[in-house]
Amino acid sequence: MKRRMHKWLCCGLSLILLLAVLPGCQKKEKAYPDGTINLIIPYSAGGNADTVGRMVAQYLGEELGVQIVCVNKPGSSGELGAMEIASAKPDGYTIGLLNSPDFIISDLVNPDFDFAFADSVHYIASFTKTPFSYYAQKGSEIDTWEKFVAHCKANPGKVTVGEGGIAHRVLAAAIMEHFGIAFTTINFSGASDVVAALLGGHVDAASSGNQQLSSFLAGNCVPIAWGGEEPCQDLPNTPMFKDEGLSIDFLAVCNTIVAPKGIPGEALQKLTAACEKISQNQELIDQITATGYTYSARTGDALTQELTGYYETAKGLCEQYKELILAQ
Amino acid sequence: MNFELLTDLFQPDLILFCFLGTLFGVIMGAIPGLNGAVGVSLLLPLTYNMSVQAGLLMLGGIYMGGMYGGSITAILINVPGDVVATCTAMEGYPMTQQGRSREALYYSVFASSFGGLIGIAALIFFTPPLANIALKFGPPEMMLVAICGLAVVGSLSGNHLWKSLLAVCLGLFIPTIGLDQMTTIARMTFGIRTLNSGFSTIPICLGFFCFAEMFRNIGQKKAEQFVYQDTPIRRITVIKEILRKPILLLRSALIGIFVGILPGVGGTMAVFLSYGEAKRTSKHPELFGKGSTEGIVAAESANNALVGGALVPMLALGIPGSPTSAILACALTMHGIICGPDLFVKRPEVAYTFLYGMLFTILAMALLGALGIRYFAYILKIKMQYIIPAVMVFALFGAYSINNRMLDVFTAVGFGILGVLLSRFEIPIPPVIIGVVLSPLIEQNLRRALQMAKAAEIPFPLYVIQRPLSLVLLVIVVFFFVLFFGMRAKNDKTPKAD
Repeated sequence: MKRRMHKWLCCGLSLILLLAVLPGCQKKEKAYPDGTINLIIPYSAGGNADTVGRMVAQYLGEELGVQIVCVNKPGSSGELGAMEIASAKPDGYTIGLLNSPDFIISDLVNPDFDFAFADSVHYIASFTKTPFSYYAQKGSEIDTWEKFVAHCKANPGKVTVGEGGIAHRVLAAAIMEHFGIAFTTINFSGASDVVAALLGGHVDAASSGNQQLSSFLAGNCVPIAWGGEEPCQDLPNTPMFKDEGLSIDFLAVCNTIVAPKGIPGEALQKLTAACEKISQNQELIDQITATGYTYSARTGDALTQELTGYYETAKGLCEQYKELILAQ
Repeated sequence: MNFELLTDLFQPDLILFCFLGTLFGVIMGAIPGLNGAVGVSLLLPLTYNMSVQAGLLMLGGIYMGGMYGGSITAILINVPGDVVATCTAMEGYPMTQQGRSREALYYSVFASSFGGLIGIAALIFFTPPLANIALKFGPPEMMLVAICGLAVVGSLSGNHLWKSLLAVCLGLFIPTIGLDQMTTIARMTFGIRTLNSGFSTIPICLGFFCFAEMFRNIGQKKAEQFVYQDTPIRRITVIKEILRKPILLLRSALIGIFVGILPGVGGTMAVFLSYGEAKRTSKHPELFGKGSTEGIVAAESANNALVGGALVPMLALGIPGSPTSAILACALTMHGIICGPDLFVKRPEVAYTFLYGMLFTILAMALLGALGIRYFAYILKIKMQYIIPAVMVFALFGAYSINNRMLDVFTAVGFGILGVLLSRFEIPIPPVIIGVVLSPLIEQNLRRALQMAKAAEIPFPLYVIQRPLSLVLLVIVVFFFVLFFGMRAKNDKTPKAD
């Protein structure tokens, strides 16, 4: 008697479950976006890229009328997350945030990086363009660019420059070639470790993104060469790399929203339009600027062209300095 | 302290979110696989629409609560909810088996509260000098501090020294698998791309402590027949006992604070260092591993004091002292506030409210523990055959949630099997964990220091000795090695009362 009751119970439950599933089987044409979008951030939570990603996700989600969930997938300076984005299902519900120049350099230099610059993703919008600068302690023997170059020439290899990733080593290679000097780069795990190292006097100079300026200034350090398009706001007399004839904007950190290649045209269009709209939102601009990043919004084809230019420049340099970039 | 600060502090929404955050943190810490960092990143989006102070204190509460929460499951079912509760499991679980689970739980919560209090006091009164000290630790110094941590292995359980050495060497080896951070060359990944990021520490610990424990209990009759006994004990008694050993408490908290201010060094090292020191200086070292309340006090006060320490470089320099404090800094940035010395000058209402508000988190934690512990222990009333699958499911989800990838889940299960094997051969697990945690610190800082010495064209040993702080640390390292390993020799000579 009990067994029969159990049988009926099970059959009844299964029927109810089947009925519940049926409505979902209907094929309805719903407008994009129609559900949560995942934004893959290839860096750990709390980092600079993650902060910008979350800000963008907030405003983009409001604009599109859906929730955008940020998913952190850190590892190997962003390579793992980048590969995930490239291989995600191209239905428009998974997008990502990539940091130029990290993925460009990884593409050029790392044979294990399963990502092709031109073929893996659509470049939708970029909100920042923050170049790198060199910093030193105020009052040290290398606290101006002239002194730095002279000191390096007099003591080849002795000056230590702290850096936080492979992009900085490419910059170091470019500087060494352009100015005909040699110094030693010391690799640290991240931007804040580089700041700590210079503040504590463990390295002679530091190669760091412009967003760290406030941390350096607070610790009695100054920029000795500025990598931006505009002079440094706090210290406008700092010599700029571009005035010295060295163009390094291909190494600027651009937080770029991307989507895997092959997403439906409608999705790509809506994402691009939404990004354009929020890029003019003053609140977002203020928030991003407050992090120290330089705000600069480019979308769609113009962005893709810009990044392709950077790719070509980086290619030449990486081929020439492969040993230096990898072997430190 | 001016009155404005007081009125800012006693806002009802602030206090409410602080308490809720601490509660959430305790739960996150207790569930194996989840920890304070996960909790903070989960609730981070909620803080966008709150006032800065309330949001920050909620996250701070999660951080503080998370450091305590791991001890609950550690004591009750020998599964540390968080890596920092490992030593608490080593002492607390034997106490549960002796029917003293409530005592262990009270020791853990009050030690956490006192330790947290000392940590926050250091944060409030000593931030500037502590921040300066943190900056003085460059690569050679960090390498020596990490080697110091290795010395603790000498004092940890294990009948044969060589088994402990084998364990620590295994631990040192495991994190070398993967993409080398400094040169991006893949090491021992055999071409498997998912292994490029290596094995994360948390899945390894989940495997060794959670899965191994659950695997060991499957099919064990004695686990099924465990009868729940709980000797009641007065909370006042426990508090008095803790305060009767002020040196133990203070030393453990100080170790937690100093390890906390060093960027990149996590709570695990603080806990093991504090535990090892407590064992070395204890009048009853033979009790350690069999239910020593001193061990619990040492471990728990260190990991909560660490919170105050980790917040020092974050607030003072904008350099996070731990991954969780990095997310807190992100929360500040989302509100347009940049950490650094400017914070105290430009936005004192945020900085000081946060500092003093953290005291609420400690109060919340203490109240939660004091009132809730008798209910926590009811977990033991659930039969082991229901606990095992529940814990394993949580742990699997927890393992996935760390980095959102399946590798971590496989790592946890794989290391669980390895953990069972190791314990079959009586190879102690804690030294493996110490090795895993310290390996990247030692290796990366050694390589940086070598590069620095090469650039200065000075032979490496000479370069290290020439730096005054390194010299001091080198002496401490030698001292510790002699002390900790010498302690083993002393224990071996006394007759074993097995």
